[in-house]
This record gives sequence, structure tokens and C-alpha cells, in this order.
Amino acid sequence: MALHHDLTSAVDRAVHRTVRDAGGLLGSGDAPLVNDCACCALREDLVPELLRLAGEDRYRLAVVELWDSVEPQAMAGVIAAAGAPLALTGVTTVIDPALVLPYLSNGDDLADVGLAAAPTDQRTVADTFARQLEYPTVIAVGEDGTHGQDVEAADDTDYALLAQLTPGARKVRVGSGALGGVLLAGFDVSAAAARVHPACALLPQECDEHGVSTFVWRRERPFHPQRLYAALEDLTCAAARSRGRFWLADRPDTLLSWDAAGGALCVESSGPWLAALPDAAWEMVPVERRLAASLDWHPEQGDRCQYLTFTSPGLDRDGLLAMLDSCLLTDDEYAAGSDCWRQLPHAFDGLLDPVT
Amino acid sequence: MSRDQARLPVAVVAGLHADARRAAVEEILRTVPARWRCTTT
Repeated sequence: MALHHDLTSAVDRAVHRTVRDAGGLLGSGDAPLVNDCACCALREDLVPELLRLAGEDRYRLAVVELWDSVEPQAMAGVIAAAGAPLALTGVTTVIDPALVLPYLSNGDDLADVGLAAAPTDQRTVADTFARQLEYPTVIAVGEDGTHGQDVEAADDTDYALLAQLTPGARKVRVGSGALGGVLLAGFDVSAAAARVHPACALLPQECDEHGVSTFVWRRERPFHPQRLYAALEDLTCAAARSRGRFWLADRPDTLLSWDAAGGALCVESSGPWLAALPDAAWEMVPVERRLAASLDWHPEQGDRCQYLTFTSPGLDRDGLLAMLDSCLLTDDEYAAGSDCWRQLPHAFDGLLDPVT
Repeated sequence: MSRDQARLPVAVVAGLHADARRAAVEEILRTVPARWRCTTT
């Protein structure tokens, strides 16, 4: 049985719910918007509806088919939190291999293409697609040719891009008949959250295949805020997708996340580095993060580090390397110490909470 | 929860590529039998 909430009618202040099986429609209904937000309505309606279906005790698997721009992480969390009798056993994102690069390069706002889930939805096609792609443990690869005639068939470049962006995810072909069984295997929401958390994310590995490259850049010393700020546009546009964590000299206690797709960059604070926390606070940090930090612990900087990955066809590795290295503190600036670093111009105050 | 209380396995299927997503869901519905009782162990 498949449960689907159609958010296209959200402008009419309702979300339309359908339940169907292989034989056709089993039932339908509407859920009212919550706080003018279709995603909130979905959250409110999803678990009660699943519990009702569980009570019928006749289904082997409930497929929650999310509407286009709904992201799986939030809904997986809602279902897992509900607990018994619901058991989250699988999460997948279905992709058309020929559309991976076009979607990843699409910087349009969801609102402009009719895919926003709320009036305040500021996501873009590219960043939404990237998060859909990177969260699941299973990627369902659609049959080539389902995308219409205006898009070329997928080639080795498309599959190489998909493989490099989804390390560790199992790829299952739609049409193989295996997807249903794979989605019954089990799913750990805590581990999945850790895999995409900026502090310990499972990032792509160095690779160069079929014209698609992943460049991994790791350094210890911090960025000079002004030099990095001046390079943001070039760095953002250098790759179809870039991710990771970094630190700025003028705010050395803050772990910053780098999340770029479709020519747009989101820089956010992800809280303090572990090295900036008192020992007693470490118990409150997920074990996956503590483990990741311990693997690369620096004697002076602790877990502070630059760890960025860039994945794209036609990637200019040498250019990226030179640009990134030029944004780090120089030897003299680094030697001046953290008290001097904190006095550097706060170039990111327009993107982040101002340094106080 | 008692040992023989039925549970409902749930799988989340996402995707901006709506046609591909629908095709995948239809395949799952065809290949996973509708009636099957799953109990906790």
C-alpha cells in the first residue's frame, strides 16, 4: 500500500491524501494546512494515517511516497519517533539518471517552479535535490527514458556523478524487482543523521572517472575571513556540488558548514567545535561525531579543520587548490595567534550572526 | 509491546523526479505482497 500527500493543492489551503495499492485507489481525503505550511500538515497527518493503516493489520509494507520537494530526512524522523507499531525499514530517493546534473545545476527557487511547500520556502531545486540524494541508504535508479524526449539519455558521466555524490548508498535499479525487498531491510535514523551532519558527514572521496571529478581539500589552519569572502562566488561556481566544514580565523570556536549546489552557497554555523566545549559537554555529543573528531584530532586545534569536497564534471582541480590555499592565513598571520585572529575584519557578519 | 503485536514496516520514497518516483512506487506495490503479517520478535 502507498500513502501519498499531494502538496500541489496547498495553495487551496489543503493537502490531498491518497492511499492506493497495486489494484488502484483505496481511499482519499484532505488534511488542512498547519501554520500555512503544507509540510507541517503532512507531519501532522502522516503518523495518524499510518497508525490507522497499521490497525488494519493487512499490509506487509507501507510506502510513504513523498511529494516532489519534500525531503526524506524530516519525514523519516517523524516516522521513527512515532515508534511501535510503525517500524521504519527503508528510505530511498528515486532519481532519473539523465536528470541528476540538470537538477543539481538548477538554481531556481522552488517557489518559481511551483514546488514550494510553504509561502516562506526559500529552498532551490538544486539544494533540495542534493539533500534528497545524500540522505538515503538506497538510491533507486529509474529506468532511462522516463524523462521525456527533451533530455538526452544518461551516459557514463551521469552515472559517475551519481556514484561520487552518494558514497555508501546502495544503488537499485527500478525494474529489477528488488526495491521492495531492499526497503524492508531496516533503517537507522541516528546513523543516517550523522552521515549528513556537517561535523561528521560521510563526504565524497577523491575520484576522477568519465570526466567527473571529486576533489577533497583538507587543511589545518583557518581561513582569512576577507580573502575567503572575496573568493566565495568563484568557489561556489567551481563545481556542481560542494560540501563540508570549515573555520574562520575571526570565529575560531564555530564549526561552519559549507553547502553549495546550483550556483548558490549556504554557509551556516553548526555550533561549537568539540575543542571549544568543556569536557563535561562532550557526553551530550553523538558518539559518531566524537569518533570522527578523534580520528583527525590536532594537538593544538583539536577537531578544527578545513574539510571541503567539490564534485563536478570538468573540475579544475589545480585552480581550486590554488584558490583555496590562497584564502588560508599566511605563515606570519598564523604565527600571530588566536588573539590576533579574532581582531581580523568580520567579513562574514552579513551571512552569519555577527561576532560579538 | 507484546511479542505478537503486529507492526507495520514503513518505507519512505522521495524524489524530485516525479515520473521516476511513481514508477518505483508502482513496482514496489506490485512486488511486495499486500497481505502478510509481521510480528515483533
